[in-house]
Amino acid sequence: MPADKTEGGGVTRLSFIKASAGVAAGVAAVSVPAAAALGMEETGVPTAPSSPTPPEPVTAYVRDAARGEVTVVSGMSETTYRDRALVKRLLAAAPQGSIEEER
Amino acid sequence: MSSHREAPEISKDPVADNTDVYAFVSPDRPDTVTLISNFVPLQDPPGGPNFFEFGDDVRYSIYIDNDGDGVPEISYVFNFETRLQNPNTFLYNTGPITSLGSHNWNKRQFYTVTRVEGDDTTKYGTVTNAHQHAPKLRTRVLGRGLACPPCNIGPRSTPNYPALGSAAVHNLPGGRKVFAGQRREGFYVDLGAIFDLGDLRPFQHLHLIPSADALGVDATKALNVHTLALQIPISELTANHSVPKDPLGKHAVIGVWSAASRRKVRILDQHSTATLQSGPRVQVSRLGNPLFNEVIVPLGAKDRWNALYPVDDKQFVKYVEHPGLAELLPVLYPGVFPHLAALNKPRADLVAILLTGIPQGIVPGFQIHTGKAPADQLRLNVAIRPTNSDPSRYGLLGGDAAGFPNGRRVFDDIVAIELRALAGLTYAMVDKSYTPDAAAGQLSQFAPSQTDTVPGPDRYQPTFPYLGSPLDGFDTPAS
Repeated sequence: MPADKTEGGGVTRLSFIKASAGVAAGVAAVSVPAAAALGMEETGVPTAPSSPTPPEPVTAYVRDAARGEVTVVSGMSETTYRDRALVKRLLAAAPQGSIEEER
Repeated sequence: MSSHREAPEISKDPVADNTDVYAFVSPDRPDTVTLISNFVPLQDPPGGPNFFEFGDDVRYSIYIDNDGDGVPEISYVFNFETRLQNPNTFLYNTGPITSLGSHNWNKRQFYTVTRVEGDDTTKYGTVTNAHQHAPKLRTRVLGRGLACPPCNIGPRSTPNYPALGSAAVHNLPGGRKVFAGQRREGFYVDLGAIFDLGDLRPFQHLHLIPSADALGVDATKALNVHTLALQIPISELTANHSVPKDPLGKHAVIGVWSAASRRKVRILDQHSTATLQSGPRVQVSRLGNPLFNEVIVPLGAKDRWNALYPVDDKQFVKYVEHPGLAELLPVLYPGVFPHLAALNKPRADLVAILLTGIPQGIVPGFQIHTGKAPADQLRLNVAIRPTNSDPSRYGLLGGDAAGFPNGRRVFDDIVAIELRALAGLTYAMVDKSYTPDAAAGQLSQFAPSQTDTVPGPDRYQPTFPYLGSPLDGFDTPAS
């Protein structure tokens, strides 16, 4: 069975992120904001987590903001994309005003 | 062990593994309290060339709850930084280290200690959705760039270790002192016996699987540990900034515990040797009363206990009320604990000792009560003067109100005290109709003849930080 398929033939997180990444990259290529293209809100809405952290969370981190590079880690895979819209959105969602430890 | 490698996850993370916490009115400065928290367990002194150290990526905290709500109003936070002078040698040192500024010392650690104050100082750097829930906390850096001493390598590398240790005791503003670095392990225990189905060598002819009685083995006598130690004026710790004189007074008792936390996200990258991390802190280890997580909390709940705060301890009350070891003792020592075997009521004595503090009226003139909220904390009555003449290693059970469970001193015989309590000796405090088994008051890992040699005279020192100089790797073979 392929790693990104469930037993029931459904879509796993891995296949979902692959598909999502493809959409996001395509959108970026024609300079349309990803969020707008997908009909999503421009900014996230803070909310209390409704469930525990999953065993293997899909994780995205901004690798190089100036170049618009974001790395997505999922399952046993890691892919780095150039997706300025996603990077911009992630940076906008990054918490502000957090407590800095004295070092 | 008190809390050495006591839970599955933290046993794989030694630099964050909180092993022992001590809190006592300083015997030589009774207007202060000494707080000690140890990490990095079971250090074999020869363990080089990368000798033991604190984690730069770990935050260490010592917490104070001074109003009995289970939530800390004060914390002292330690953050470390390792500096490498010469990356082109494999050596920790390239010649004798004769001072903390020695050029021969290649790999050093420095630290910042910060005082945090507010309604709940566990929230310092741990809050998610912080813009919504940011707490009001006040922080003050008490010291920055403070030097740790080196590890004790041997006579060629660290020829005068006591001088290095003394130099690493830093005076801070306000009459405070601080130390962070390697010390000799103060906790004494017969590890090999206790984890061999609860064997007590001096009494093992009575064990379910018997053998001839023998002397106890001090399994930690040749080990070192890493110590955080603070000496703080009492007035800085109490709720009303007083120096209580009445042990029964409202503000006389403070709760103490410590913890280690890591950043929520860590990314490993083969192209970077730096620790790449992000996110708020997540607690990975904590410790209040010795042996609580080790002996009371069952294996399946130990990791969760380490991640929670004392204010969440209500869910662990059932394990204190019905401790597994108390049920095992009559099985492991057939016929020795008939009264304990018949005792099936919740252990209100252990709840008082470990979770709420002993209220007044139980021991005349004594209390360490902080309220009904169950929280695993060391409770220290700062109005009780230190016992400087012939203190009892058995603390309160030995008639010495300045010892455990009134805080904890470095030499208190924690294993004996808690074994005796678990065996029912303290249940008579709350139920006068209960007669403890005769053996309960005798339980110890060491024979009476060993009290002069265990823990031994070099284990401690009479002044801050009270734990003795670490053993050196040259003279102390690896076990």
